[in-house]
Amino acid sequence: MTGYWKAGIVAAVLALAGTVAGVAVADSEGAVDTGSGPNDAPVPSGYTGINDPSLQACMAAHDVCNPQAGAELQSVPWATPLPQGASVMTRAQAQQFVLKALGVPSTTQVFSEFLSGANVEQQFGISRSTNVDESRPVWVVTVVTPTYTDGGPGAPGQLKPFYSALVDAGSGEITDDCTGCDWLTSSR
Amino acid sequence: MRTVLRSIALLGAVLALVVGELALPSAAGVGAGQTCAHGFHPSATACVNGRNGERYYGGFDDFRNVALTATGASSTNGIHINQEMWFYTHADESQWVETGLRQGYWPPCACVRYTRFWADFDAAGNEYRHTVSYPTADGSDHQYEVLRNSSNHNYWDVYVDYNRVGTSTNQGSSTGYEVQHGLETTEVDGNVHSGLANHSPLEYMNGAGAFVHDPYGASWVDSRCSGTTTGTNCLTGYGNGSDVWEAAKG
Repeated sequence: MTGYWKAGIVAAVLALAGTVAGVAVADSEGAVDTGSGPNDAPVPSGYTGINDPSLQACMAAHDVCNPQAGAELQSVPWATPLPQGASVMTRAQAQQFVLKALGVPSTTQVFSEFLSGANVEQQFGISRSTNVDESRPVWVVTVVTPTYTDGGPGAPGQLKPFYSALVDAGSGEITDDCTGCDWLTSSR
Repeated sequence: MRTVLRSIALLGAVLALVVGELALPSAAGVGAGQTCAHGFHPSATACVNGRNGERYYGGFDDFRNVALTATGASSTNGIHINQEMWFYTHADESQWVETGLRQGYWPPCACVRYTRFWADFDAAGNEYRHTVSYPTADGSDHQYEVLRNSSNHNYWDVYVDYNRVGTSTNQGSSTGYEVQHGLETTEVDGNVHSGLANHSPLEYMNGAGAFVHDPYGASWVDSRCSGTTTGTNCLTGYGNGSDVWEAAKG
């Protein structure tokens, strides 16, 4: 038997052993979080663990299952109704803010519309954060300018022709945006 | 006999090549032999990615409000550094929901600010970003979860500290293929820094609706620092137990 043959047979044995080992691994899965292990997920008081059926039922039915952590969500200016008589951004201010946010010239083509938060969700199907008070007025702003998405660890940023944003008209900040969306094609 | 031995040898060589190829860390993807998503922004991450064909119905992460810096960030210099979790809803990693902390230029405020956020990418590659809050880097631990919506299985709810902060409605998938967590940055140099974030644990919801620990500890670290050290021109990422991931940038 030549060395070539011996090497081939050894390789076959090793490969088959590896395949068998792979099959064995395929049967395994991570340990279930019981809520009592040192590395188990911490959960709000009153629950036994992340698999506690009462916690999962709460999360399926309610936005808030950990009221103690709710203060941070309420700390943003758009979490509460805009006081009556409070001043709001003008169309020009909202448009210029978005252009500034993108770092593009003030002459860039831009469209805008003034709506309530609730109307925005209905009209554009935008899924906003839960801590936004939908009674607050917003400026919908679309800018016609090439803009890159952020991308991610495995995906490069993509160049998109539009950028759209929801500007909270009371605080003057964008709460939600979309790189690539043309929510508006003209001002209204 | 000679012919039989030659055939066995040839078959063995081919089999060894095939098995060896599967075991090599190749391009990002999900399934056997694949590493965590990588190849664009430098990252120091760990993941579960369907090594044995698993599918995921939720992802869980817990890490500290670590200090993050991105010096020089501006509207014309979009550098940033994040500590976060990604939940991929397509096997080719083309769409995902992400949530965590980011420091750098944040267009929504037209400013450089430490931000808790969630974001998602639709089928056309459009990116939707949502500000959750502006916390302080006080080292406190917080929990992040992406969970399949109980009514519409193509929707994915995003939770911070067990409070729902948003719902991704644009994934077009009722299944998760990879859960990844750790550090992501736009560059590896002296402009960006991150404290050591203890991502613990990484868990996923299995087909039976139970959260289980990551049993495998797959990871990917670009420009890896030596061991547990940190450095200006490298990323720190190492496992500390099967589902604990430490990530930092010196």
